[in-house]
Amino acid sequence: MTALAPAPTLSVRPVRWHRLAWVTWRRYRLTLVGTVLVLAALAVELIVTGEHMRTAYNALQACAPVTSEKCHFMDDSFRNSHGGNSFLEPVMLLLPGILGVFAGAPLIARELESGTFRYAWTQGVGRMRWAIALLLPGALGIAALTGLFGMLVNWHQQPLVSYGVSSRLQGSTFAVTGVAAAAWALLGFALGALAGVAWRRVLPAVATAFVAWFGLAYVAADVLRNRYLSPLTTTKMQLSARNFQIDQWWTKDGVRVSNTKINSILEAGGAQISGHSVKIHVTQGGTDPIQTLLSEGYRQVTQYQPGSRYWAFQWIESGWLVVLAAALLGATFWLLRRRAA
Amino acid sequence: MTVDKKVKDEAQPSPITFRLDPTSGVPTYLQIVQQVEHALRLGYLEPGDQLPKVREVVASLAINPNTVLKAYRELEHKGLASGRPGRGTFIDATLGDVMLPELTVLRRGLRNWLAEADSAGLDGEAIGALMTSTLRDFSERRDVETARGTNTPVRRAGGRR
Amino acid sequence: MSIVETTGLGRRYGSTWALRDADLTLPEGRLIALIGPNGAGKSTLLNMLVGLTEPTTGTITVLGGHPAGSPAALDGIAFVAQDMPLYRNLTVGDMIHLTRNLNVTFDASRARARLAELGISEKQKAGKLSGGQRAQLALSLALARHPRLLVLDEPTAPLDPLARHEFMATVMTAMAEDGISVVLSSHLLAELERVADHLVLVAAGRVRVDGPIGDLLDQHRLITSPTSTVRHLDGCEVIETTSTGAQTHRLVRRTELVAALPADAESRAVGIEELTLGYFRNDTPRPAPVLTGVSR
Repeated sequence: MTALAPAPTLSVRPVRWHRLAWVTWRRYRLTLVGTVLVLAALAVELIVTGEHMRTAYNALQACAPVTSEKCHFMDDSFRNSHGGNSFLEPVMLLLPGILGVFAGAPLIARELESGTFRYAWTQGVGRMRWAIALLLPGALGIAALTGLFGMLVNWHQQPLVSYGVSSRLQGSTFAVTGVAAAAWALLGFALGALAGVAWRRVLPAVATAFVAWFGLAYVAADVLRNRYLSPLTTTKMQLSARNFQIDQWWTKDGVRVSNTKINSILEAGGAQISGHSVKIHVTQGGTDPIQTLLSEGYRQVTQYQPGSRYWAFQWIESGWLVVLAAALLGATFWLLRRRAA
Repeated sequence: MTVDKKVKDEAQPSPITFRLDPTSGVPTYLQIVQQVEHALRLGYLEPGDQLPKVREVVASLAINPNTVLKAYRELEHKGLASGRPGRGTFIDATLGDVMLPELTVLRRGLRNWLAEADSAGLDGEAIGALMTSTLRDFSERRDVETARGTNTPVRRAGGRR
Repeated sequence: MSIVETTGLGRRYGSTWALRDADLTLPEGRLIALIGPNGAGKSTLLNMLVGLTEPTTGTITVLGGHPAGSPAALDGIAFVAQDMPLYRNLTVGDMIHLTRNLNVTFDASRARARLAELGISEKQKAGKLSGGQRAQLALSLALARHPRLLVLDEPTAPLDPLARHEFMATVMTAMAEDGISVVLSSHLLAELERVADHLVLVAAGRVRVDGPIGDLLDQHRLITSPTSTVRHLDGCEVIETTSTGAQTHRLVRRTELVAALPADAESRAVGIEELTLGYFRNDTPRPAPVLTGVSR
């Protein structure tokens, strides 16, 4: 009666993907609405200010002659009112991380925390298929939405960039424009998902994932982005704001000169130095201390990344982000399979 | 062979329902057996009546269906009821007809013998004749044994001398 | 055919063995009661049965040879976990739809009919249902999957007596109509005689008792002897001893078909509750020899 017969052939059909699509849709309904609302609100702000900017920009372009007082004034006011960082910029920069983590972390963490995994993972579909059906569409969805938003930010920025007021490479916007926005959201999602399976609680998962995301974002902005391609150097005194300045120092005869030495020369020439700010008053008939330096053979070297490398950098950054996100999602599935009740 | 009993309409529910006394210490299946016997004794159940369907007993008492089946099998074993596949379990006999276990075994043996006789080609009359003659032989032989033991004259059946 | 078979099954968490050396063969078409103190291996066994936990050693196969947790096992086993976890914000109708989409086999009309019979509206949110209604919902969803094995983890613990009765009646009816097998983990020892065919007792991480209830009740006796003349009983394994100055009671399990009793000892039958408590209170992890053939 209890003879161990060989296991009968598997006659179980797997659950069809289109059935799971309903499950995915139902799970993400609220997240989708929330995300769209947030993005829409920000989009409205961007569109409104973008239109204002374009109007001012067009007026500025039309102003002639360019050297007149009036046009100078227009120029100044354009830079002042549109060139500075809007109050929303920090928010927008964190946005891909926030959206990604909040979409990804609760997915599995909530099941584990509330105990509903005892229902979900004992259904015929099995936990792996279930996880695939939930994680992959979610990851792609949040990336796509954020990517669209990133395009909008690009559009918004465009007059400033064309006019040379700001650089597309600047840290305050780079990660929330173009393709990088999508990739950063994807990373947030993957970090959230992995944290969710690891912590089994929503709050610690969200917190950990966001801290990790923020850490990576900081490292990318501060260190990595400067080095995707070898920076260029120039001795020109004025660098177009379209380019992103990394570092600046003085040399004489090819050898780097310390800032203290430069500062003492400038002070001798009448400049006031406090901290990083150098105030130079050129009195009538007096000499500009900077010109004195230059005439003595000192050269200012600026290390920078040209603005034209924007798209190259976007693809490089998105590239490693996607690879990292894929690895994290892989780890999520691996951990999920091993997760004991 | 069987008297044409009035077969009760299957759609009619059973005349009795079971109750359970969980504190009595009596096993559940035995309580069911006892309730059927009690109902027979008091006339609530008559031959031809259907016992409650297993599904209904289980739904109302929340007991294991195997327990109900065990009880019904016990009643069959006692000769009180029999199951008809697809239709349910029906009362066969009144308690007055209750057979002792030995008689039940004998009855079963007889049924088997009848089946053999049937397959050997004997019809009802031939079987009857065979039975009668063998019974007579057997009785005579036994009377002889008994008489030998007690020294009383043997009285033969059938008057064969 | 057996519905569950385990060989040397064990599960370790860190350095502690939650369950060890479990060799079980559970019969089909029966209700198997799984009892044991909390934290003594019962939940671990259940979790491995439904595929939520992997064994550390040994094997567990279900439904005639499929490894627990495999697609065939998941398809044929329906699980109602403790506290019946359901998505609180989903309506009853949504839960039906969800279960439909997570399974190949699902009889939605059967689930709907049953819920309508019970007066549970499909528009109600699952979290707003009463305890009894939630239990019935979870059970209806499980049975609508037409499983071959239904696994219930203390399903009636939070229910009032009427709800409990209705719940078990539904389970029993499914056994009668569809021939499903049931594994029921329960603390309600009093009702097991009425409801269970087979008993598995897990204590201190080991299977202490495994057999048909009738056999087990026949095998266990309470022997009472005067303390002064107490001596070893041949053919019996002593489960628990309690003694006073005058009397000694021993709960024993007969390991031989006929066990001789001393003349001054009395023997009586024990019920499931007494039997179980005896094992719970004395969980020395010695595996007991299985005695077959002693039955009414």
